[in-house]
Amino acid sequence: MGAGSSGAASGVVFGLAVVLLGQQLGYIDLSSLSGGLLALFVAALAFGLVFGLVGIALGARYVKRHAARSSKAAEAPPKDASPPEKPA
Amino acid sequence: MLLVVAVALLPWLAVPASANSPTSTGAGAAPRAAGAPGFSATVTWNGQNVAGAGTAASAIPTSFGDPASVVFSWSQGGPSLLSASESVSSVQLHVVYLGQQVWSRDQVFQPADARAIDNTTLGADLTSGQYLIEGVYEVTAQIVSVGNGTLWSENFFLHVTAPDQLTLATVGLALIAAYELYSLARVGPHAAPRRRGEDANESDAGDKGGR
Repeated sequence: MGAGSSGAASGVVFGLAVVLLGQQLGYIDLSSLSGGLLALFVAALAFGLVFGLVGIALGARYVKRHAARSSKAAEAPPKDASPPEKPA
Repeated sequence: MLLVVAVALLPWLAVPASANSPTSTGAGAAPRAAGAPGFSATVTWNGQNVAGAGTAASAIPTSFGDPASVVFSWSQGGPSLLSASESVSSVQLHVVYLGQQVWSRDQVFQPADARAIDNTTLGADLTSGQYLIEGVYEVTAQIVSVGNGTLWSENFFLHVTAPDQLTLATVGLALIAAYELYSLARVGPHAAPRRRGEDANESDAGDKGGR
């Protein structure tokens, strides 16, 4: 599973949890079936999209950093390499 | 995901609807206040008129721990006694969540109350499930006639709070939201295996091309 889809999955669950938490704390009214399901659907969709995009961005940043670290490691001399011998 | 669904279903588990109550009416299906011609009524929740609690923002604050006293007062113009079919047979309260009736309380008159002007008090104890659910709920107050017709009904909102706002559902949902944020913050490495594979393929192709 890629970073974008992992983020989107987290966003969907987060959106559902936020709406239900908003109802618990008295900010959202989920009395009617249509209004309640609409609020849950919109929140899941919106947070899924946003978290998906954030996941893509975080994944890209991770890969960029990882690649930079790998190339630096490749360029650096090995730690156990013996120091150059001094001319006599 | 299953935990979120389970939390959404908690109200049904916590306060099942009473068996003798009518089926769900669905919030918003009926007008906020409606009644038979000439019949008027008022309902107070712990002394506060529910007519002023018609929106979620103006919901009447209450607690699961506090027993509530709901007073139904009604009057019918004309003769002092109602006809047999118009006599009041019961007063009812229904709490609706996601279109489903999750809690109800009623008081049945045997025989039916035929007085044109009268009032009655209904105890609404919301103590069941006090550590499970809280929030804003729509309530329908109804006065029902012998013919099972609704003489009067009004929808209003209650803001139910649990002690210290600590319920199993609230804590569980907050933990789920926090965990999903944590998962998002650690989503970066999910991109690595695919890219590593691509890099490996690219280097393989480069090696083969070089040979």
